[in-house]
Amino acid sequence: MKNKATLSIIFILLCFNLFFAKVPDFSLKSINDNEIKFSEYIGKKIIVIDFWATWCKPCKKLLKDLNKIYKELNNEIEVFAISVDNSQAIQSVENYIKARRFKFKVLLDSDRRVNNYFNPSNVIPFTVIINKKGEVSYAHSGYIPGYIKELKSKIKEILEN
Amino acid sequence: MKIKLFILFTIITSFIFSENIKINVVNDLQLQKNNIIDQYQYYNTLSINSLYNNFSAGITLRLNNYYLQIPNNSNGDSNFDLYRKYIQFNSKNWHVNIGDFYTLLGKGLVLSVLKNDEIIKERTVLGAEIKYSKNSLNIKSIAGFVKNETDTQEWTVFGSEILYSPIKKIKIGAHFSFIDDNENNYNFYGKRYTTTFSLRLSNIFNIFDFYTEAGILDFDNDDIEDGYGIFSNLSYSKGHSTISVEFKRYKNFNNLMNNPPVADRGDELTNLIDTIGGRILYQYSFFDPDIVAFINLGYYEEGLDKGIHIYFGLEAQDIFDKLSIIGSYGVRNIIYPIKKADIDVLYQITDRISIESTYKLKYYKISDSIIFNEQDINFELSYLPNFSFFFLYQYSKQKIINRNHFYSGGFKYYISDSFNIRLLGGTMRGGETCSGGQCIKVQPFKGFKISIYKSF
Repeated sequence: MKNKATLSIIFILLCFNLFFAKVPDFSLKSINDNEIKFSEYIGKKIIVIDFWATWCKPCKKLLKDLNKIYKELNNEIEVFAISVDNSQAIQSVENYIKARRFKFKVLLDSDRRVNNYFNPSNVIPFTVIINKKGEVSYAHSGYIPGYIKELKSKIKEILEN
Repeated sequence: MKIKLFILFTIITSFIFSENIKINVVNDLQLQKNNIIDQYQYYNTLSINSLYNNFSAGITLRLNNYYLQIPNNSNGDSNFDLYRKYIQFNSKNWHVNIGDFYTLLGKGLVLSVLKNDEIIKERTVLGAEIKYSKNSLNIKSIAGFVKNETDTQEWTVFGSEILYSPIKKIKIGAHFSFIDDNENNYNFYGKRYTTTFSLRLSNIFNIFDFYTEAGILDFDNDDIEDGYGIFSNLSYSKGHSTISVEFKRYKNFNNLMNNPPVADRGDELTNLIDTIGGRILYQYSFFDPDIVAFINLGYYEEGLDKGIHIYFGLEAQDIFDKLSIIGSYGVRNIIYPIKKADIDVLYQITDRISIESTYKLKYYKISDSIIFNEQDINFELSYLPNFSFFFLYQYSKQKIINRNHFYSGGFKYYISDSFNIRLLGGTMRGGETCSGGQCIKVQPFKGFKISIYKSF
């Protein structure tokens, strides 16, 4: 009982001590084995990160939407579509992306290092927007039809601020 | 005691460095009534990540009472532990990580210790990882220990990888792993060394990509025959067509921690003991409307058996700005037959309201008495921007948690950008489950489940 009370107090203290949150300088391999470092993009553009997997249909719908947004706003935003597929599906990621001619960067996070930082519950799709200061401005899990409008308005809102 | 000291240390340091340190916390709670044991079960993870200049550190604390479902449980009513911990240093060229991490070298032919969503206690490497990258050179080394899901076995693991790009579009790599069974193991394999070399050619003549990785597995134990493995993929993309040709050959290539690529739908059989085969995947893309049609033809020999693996389907999105259809069907007829089918239809009625229905079939006939026939039907109604309701029916020929039919439903409510609540009730078969616009791998359950996601 005493232990539980102590843990509860510690948790509450932690919650009051929180303030958010510059993103660590992650680096991930792209599907072409190129190392992509977040720090090379932070400050220059807004970064939209989408965690997805080849077995997730809502993720595929969101990727299509992101491609549309990227085509429209590629001077102002950078999109990282981060696959959390395991090593068995690595080739599938390449096959999937190539046929759809997506223009944004597709990165591999098979070891879930970046996903676990932003999305420990592992629910996908999961979208994060990082502003030019390198701070997380928006996080959203799931996809529902019409979500493209909400996402676009959030990006524009962050761009204006 | 150590956990509490660690947390107190985190709090104290965060107050001291409060001007510079940044902390991010995500809490994820799942609560469900398990009617089989007539108990509420909870599984809560609290991840705390902090950043101070080039350093970052994180812990994941876990509180759960899942042991309750184990017969004659002797682990107590609840379990609280420091599930994951790491300290990282990142600079322009260096990445150093000490603690828990997943790891993958090459395409998984030499080492792949990755997240396993289907069980609660999944594996990581506990040790150190160092990465160096500069211009055309990338070096990665890891060393540590890996435990199995129940902590009853342990392996010592060392791995290293060098990738070098002599000229743009060409990348060569060397990948190596050493694995040893520790004392408490069943000790099937003993010390083994896996070495592969890889070559990647990117965007050759603007239409071709090529990757190949090949190597050997050397066992210290003379009773086990040494093995070899080859994985190659050539793809062509031009105009509307994308063609991918793949070849693989594995002979005695299982080091217990390698996991090479397989075909897109995960139903290709690759046992690493004795496999030879290949496939051609052809994808045709109509760009307006947005439709991709695909067909995969594969042929494999697995030991003394041989057979085909065929699948085809299409993805059509935004037809008349209203309709999306994703569907595929496939059969694999090697060792035992597998049929897989899925279709997902989404219709957007208005800007705010949409309906979606999905059907999935998995049919495995391992023998006349062992048949897996699993079907899912999902119906979903969404009202933007806050609500999504869904109903899911699942059928399984093999009884799981004493039933064949599973009914579940629920809703998801978005309170704000970083705060949502998901309520799910009924019974679920488990496995890869997509409902409410989200996908996650879940375990079978009966009862209800509340998931609260909050990012501070």
